[in-house]
Amino acid sequence: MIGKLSVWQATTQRYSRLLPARIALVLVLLVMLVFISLSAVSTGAVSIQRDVVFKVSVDAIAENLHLDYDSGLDYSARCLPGQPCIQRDAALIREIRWPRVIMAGLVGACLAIAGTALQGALRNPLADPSLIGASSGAAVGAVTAILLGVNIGDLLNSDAPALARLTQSLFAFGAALITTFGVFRLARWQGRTDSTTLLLIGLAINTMASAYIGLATFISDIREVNDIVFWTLGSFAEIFWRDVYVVLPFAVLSVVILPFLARQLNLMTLGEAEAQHLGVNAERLRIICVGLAAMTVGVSVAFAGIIGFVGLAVPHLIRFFTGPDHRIVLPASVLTGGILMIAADLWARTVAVPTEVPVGIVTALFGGPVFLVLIILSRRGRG
Amino acid sequence: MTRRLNVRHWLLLVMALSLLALTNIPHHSNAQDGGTTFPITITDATGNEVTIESIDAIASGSGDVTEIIAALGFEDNLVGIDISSTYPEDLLDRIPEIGFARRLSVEPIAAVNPSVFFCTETCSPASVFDQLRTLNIPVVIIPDDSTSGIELPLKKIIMVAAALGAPEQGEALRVKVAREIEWAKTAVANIQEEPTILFLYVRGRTLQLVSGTNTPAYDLINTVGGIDVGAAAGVVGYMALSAEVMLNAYPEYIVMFQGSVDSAGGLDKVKELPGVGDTPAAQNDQILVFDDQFILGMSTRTGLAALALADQVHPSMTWELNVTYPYAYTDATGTEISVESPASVYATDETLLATVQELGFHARVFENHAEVSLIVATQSSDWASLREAGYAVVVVSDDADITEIAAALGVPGRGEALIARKAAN
Repeated sequence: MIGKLSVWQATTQRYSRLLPARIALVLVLLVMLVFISLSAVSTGAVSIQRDVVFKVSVDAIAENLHLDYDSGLDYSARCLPGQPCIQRDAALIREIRWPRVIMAGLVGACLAIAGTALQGALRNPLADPSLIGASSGAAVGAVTAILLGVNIGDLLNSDAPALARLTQSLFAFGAALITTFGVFRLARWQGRTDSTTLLLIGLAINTMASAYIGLATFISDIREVNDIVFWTLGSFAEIFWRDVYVVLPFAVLSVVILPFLARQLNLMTLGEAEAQHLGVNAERLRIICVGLAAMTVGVSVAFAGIIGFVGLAVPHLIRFFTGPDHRIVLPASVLTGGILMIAADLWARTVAVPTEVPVGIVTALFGGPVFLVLIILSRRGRG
Repeated sequence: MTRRLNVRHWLLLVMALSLLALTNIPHHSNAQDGGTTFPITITDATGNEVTIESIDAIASGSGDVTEIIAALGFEDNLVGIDISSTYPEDLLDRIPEIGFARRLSVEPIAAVNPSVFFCTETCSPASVFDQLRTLNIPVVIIPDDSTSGIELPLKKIIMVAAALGAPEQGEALRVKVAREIEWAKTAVANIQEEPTILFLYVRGRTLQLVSGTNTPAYDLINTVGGIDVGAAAGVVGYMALSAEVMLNAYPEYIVMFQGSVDSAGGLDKVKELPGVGDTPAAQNDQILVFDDQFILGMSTRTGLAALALADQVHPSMTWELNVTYPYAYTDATGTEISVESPASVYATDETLLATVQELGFHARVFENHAEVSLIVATQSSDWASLREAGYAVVVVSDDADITEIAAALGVPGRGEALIARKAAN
């Protein structure tokens, strides 16, 4: 009863044999990512022809790269009410939908890779960005900013809504880092960190955070409740390019650094002592992984709110298909996280037009059952 | 081949199919044509300079604004309205819905292809406005602050009218609404008692709030001479309902939205909310239920809403909410007249007109008008020929006082209230 995929697991040392399969999987996922992105950009309350989407996108890229290319779309055509309008559709595609879809992809990738790194480094399949306090810490930061009414705009004499949201994002990011550091520091004893203690402390911190958010919801007025719902259930409805530019470097940093640690993470699966004997500095590995996870999750939550389940479920989903080799699980998680988040956001903004469902509800709604099925199937598989 | 492998292939297939299915969600857009030429530039409530090229296709994100747009005669230009736009009643059946004022998103608004978008300062999230601006859709934000008091509807009307390039219609509507608000103030002028009133907002089991200062409810309750016991209990804005808060407030009247009562599951369920059942309001069946947008929309019907509330909380109010028609009146010429329900009321001169208007009639000065139903004339006017021409005419003496004019109009109680109001001023 050994399937092809399980053979991968058995032959982890033979890297060369794995390479074609890895490249193939990554390519397939890349194609799916491009496909779902284009579909997401073409779909919404405003219906836009797919060829228009494609031409506008190509024109935008050409314009930014100063290429001499023209798709032949007439952007100067006058817009009349009730008629398709290239000018407005182009703005919608370039300024609303692309940043939103890219942000969803980035956040999905961030959460998934953070989850994978944490589960590997802590040697615990339950590890999840929200369990080490990063998500709830970020939400606490944002909610505090809302309750205190702090706004950078006040210092700059401006009441632009963007500045209020930026203030909340900064609070969220800062609080995510502080909370994760606190959890990690509390779990550290005599120079080493015990994963179970870390997760238990994270759980305790989470309970306190949700109590605080509950309290905040209770004492705030209607308008603030709306803001708090955004932070606790997540949404990509208010994303602009400027937000994408902030998240991008953090996502790239994780995606570039973590695959270099894949081999060490693989050795960690043998057991911490065994990994130490094979030359892995387990403590340093944990610090790097937790630090990167806190950073990526913090910045994700800061702009999109808490979106549950992706960080926990995506690594499990990937391992179900590929086995536990981090050299494949890490890149596949990045792409799958992005694909699933873009799909979830697409559903969230189109299912209840003219209103939107918080994307965190969608990920839990669909992620929960899929996760259950995975757990049951993989237990049966193990016999 | 093993069974496990098949399950995996199958799972992959399902996932791929569901991704495909997601991409084929249907959508539609709707708008209408027009051809007015503008551009108008105004400064809106947030201080932004907005240039409006055309008002052929108006989207409104808030019910109060929709009401004003319709009242100004631009109902047919509306191409999208939010779900709180419940007045005029049939709008939501005819015009595409673009979301809810407090939970807007950009795409449904863009989908109706508006040439201008209206919303208020309390619409959220505010980032939607930025998104609409990037789509070159001008956004006009109408004031909705908590400091304007009962005058707030007037500020809204002026700004909407300016943005629509219709300042004259705006001024006419402002005068009408301001006059109705004055009626409400007059109606409670001769009343000593100050009923204790609390506004309770309910959305199902999760959200139950009482209101205090800095809310439209506070302004309305003050206008009708009541005591807002939420504010008296120290509530600023809104506060979660608890038995303690409710019993601390201990209101004689509770004001609620029809939507709130429905979401609670009826008045009986409202009385089961913490503390509510123990208040005089619940025990004396004095929970007053009004249409959401009518009572606190702070729009074109605010004066009438205040009058309706005043009528409910002041059993001794003399101001007749509705005139009983037909009524008989023996006028200054000794003629007994039976006055039928007048579609419109006219007066023969400005002084007389002012009093008629203060007594709760949107009257005008008489100029040979075809559809006159009632003319109030002074003795020195040419009332005889008017009566000969077939008009219904009541004649009052040249130096008629408020009591006489009120009696001539069939509203003696309103007269009493107006006299008290003038004496107080």
